[in-house]
Amino acid sequence: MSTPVAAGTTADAVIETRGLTKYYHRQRGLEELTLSVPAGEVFGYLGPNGAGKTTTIRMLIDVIRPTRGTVRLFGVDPRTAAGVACRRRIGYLPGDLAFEGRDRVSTLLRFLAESRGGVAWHRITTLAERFELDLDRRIPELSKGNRQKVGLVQAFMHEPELLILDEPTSGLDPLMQQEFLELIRETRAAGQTVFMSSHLLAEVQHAADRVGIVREGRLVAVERIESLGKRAKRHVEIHFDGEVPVEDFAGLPGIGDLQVHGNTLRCLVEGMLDPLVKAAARHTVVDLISTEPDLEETFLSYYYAQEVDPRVA
Amino acid sequence: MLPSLLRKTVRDWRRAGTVWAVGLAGMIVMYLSFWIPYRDDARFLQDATASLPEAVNSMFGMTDIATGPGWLQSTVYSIAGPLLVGIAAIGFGARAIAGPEDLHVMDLYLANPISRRSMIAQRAAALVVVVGGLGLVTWVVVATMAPAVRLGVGLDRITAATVHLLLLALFLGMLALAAGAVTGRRGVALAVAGSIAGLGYVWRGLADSVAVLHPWRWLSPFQYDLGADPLHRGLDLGSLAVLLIGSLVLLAVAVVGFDRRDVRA
Repeated sequence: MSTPVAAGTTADAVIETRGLTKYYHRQRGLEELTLSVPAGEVFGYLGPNGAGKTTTIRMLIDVIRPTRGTVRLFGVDPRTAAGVACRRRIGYLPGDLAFEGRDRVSTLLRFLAESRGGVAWHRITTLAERFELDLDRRIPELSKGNRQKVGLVQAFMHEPELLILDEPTSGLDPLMQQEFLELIRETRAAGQTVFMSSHLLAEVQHAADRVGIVREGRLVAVERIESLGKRAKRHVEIHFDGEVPVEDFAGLPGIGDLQVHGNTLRCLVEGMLDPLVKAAARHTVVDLISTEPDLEETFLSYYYAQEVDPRVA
Repeated sequence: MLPSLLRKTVRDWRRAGTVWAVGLAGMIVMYLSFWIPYRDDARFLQDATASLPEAVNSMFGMTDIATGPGWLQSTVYSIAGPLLVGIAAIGFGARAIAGPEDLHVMDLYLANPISRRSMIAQRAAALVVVVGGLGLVTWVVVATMAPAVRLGVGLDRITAATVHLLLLALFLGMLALAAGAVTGRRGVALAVAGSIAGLGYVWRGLADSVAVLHPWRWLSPFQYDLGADPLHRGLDLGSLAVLLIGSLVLLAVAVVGFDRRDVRA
């Protein structure tokens, strides 16, 4: 079961869109996006490439204008003078990140810091050290990964209340991806709001409070990560000290693909592990191995299986 | 302190600006040095230009090439100046707004508390700084060379001709900036401003000597520089006003055009 997508107005919503629609000439970019992201939430915005993620994000910062519908960030229209002033409170990482000129990284970051009214220099050096970014390098010499690090440092350096990150981990090596997720957790603990897009659920499942899925320009589902976990399927393997009868486990709620060979039981559990654990406790358990639930599989099977009425979104 | 984007833009353009300045200074020094052998024996020049059609002489301001001011006019202020300062201005104008869009860096700029209007204002200011620098180089080199090679042109006239050249170049630069702001494409900005400049240059020359076209001289931006002939006649405030107001109108077109459209992805 899915929780209906929150469509109501939240008083402290940092991002609020209503019926947000974008067409490029005749071509669909995004249709009828109504979404509210409250202060302090980390929202993962998921979907395959070309689904409308970047279109949404570019409308949030007013580089492209909606065909229909409204956007409010901190309660103001990004297109107004108040909206422009609000951008001081936003850290933005573009999906298509590029720089101009031959500046050193430090000079570029200083320029961006000044544009936002100044940043304590130690914030920049701390972030740069964290991501192992050399501030003395020149922009044209940067690799894809290093450019992405510059993008992350500039997005976080002024400790913005809202972070809008388009595919933040693209180009980062796995170690730096972990560092980034750690930074997101700290950001969340500090009460900052994050709106990040990704085409991989695995990337946001440990950092996000909620995830929304866009597909072909429509938001098809919004879920809390915990409720997703409840529906998650996981493979479980239990080793006993002797043979166990199949009948003891067959027919338990949520159990599927049950196989018992000698001392070993293997099955697929949907939802809580409790019935299986209680049943197993009647025997002597040597080992219990449970795989991490694959949220991506769960999420995708769910949303491909049921044709969710996009109107709820 | 100047706004951050203006400083960044001037810094980014300094390198190319220096190359243009060196080329411009070199070309002026070369042209004015060539005056030395003709100075005391100008008959060769007179004969040479007399054999050319009037339209050609008019186009390149060669009608009195055998005099000091005529030589300065036909080389520096009719050819080297408009060509180099004009092309540089068009190049920087096209880079002003369409450049960051072609490079996909506009999103990053506009995600700061910088409005689109301020974006254009700061980039246009950078254009004025860089083109102004090239104007200053022209003025300094000509003002130093003129007495050295005994051109017999006063500083006031050199200043007048340079001010006209500068405002003409700024107008062409603003044309490229506006075309870039409306379309978001640097190639289009270069093509629009480049062809208007090229046609305008030829048009002024033709209209000056072909009677039928004469009433239409005002169509060419070059009419307000070369047509006003500031080197011989001093500053022409009317012509300067046309270039200045034209630049401001183009700036307004840029603001409106850029404000209304989507930034290219």
